[in-house]
Amino acid sequence: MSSEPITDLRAWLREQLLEHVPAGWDITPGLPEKLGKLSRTTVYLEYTTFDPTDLPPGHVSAGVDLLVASRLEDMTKGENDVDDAVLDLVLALDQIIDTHPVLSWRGEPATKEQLGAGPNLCWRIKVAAIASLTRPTPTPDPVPGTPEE
Amino acid sequence: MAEIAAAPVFVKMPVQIGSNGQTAHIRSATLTPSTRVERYTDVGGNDHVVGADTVAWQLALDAIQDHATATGLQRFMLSNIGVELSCTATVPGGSYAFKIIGSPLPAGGTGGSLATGTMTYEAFDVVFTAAGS
Repeated sequence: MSSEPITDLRAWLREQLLEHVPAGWDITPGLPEKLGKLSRTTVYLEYTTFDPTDLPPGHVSAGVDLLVASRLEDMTKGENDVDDAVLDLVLALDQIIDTHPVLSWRGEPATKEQLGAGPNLCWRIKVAAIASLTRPTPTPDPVPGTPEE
Repeated sequence: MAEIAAAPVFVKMPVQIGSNGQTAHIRSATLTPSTRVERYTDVGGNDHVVGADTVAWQLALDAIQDHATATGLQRFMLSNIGVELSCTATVPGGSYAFKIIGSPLPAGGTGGSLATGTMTYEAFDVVFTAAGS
């Protein structure tokens, strides 16, 4: 398979994850500016590195951190909950990586942390995805004076 | 001149040795081709370079040491020393079929480290088939 355009990468990864994680999870590209109360198990997809090393021109290895967070704010309950959730996420990623050779583990151990220093615990898992450095064809600007549809 | 787009991927090459898939036993597998060029000078004193029409292949395996699984890679190799084994290595876009001569992988190593071993086999009758062909 071909690599995804860099601009579509997180949306593609989100689509793949939705097929494999338990129903009802929320998967969000990027962390919101202000974290509110979580209503469900949430996975945030965060870009962390871009590395063209060893790749042919026009491609980059994008490091994506997946933060899977428990909705529970109680430390003990939240820890048990997020430990179950991370196993679901690891199994989902294993299936996706098996099917799509443009995705790989980054070779760094997953770590547990507090999401945005708040009360929710999360696991941070690091993956890498080969993406092509292309942009979608730009939509031409509307001619001035033309009413918007 | 057409500029050909590329589809780079991370290494994914499940390996079948004999009739069983042994991918779970193998950390790294590389099929390496090599060819040679022959140079000679004819009786007229002209130099010639001729590319050999055959390619020699080697299969390098870095595998875990699993002596407990009866049908695992090491036990299979120990039971098939000197035997011609048919293999398949599947890559995104196709697969390589080839043969090797059975030979066991290393045993032991530094205490406390992960038990693994590397071995290089001569691979022959190598044929690549593109996916869907």
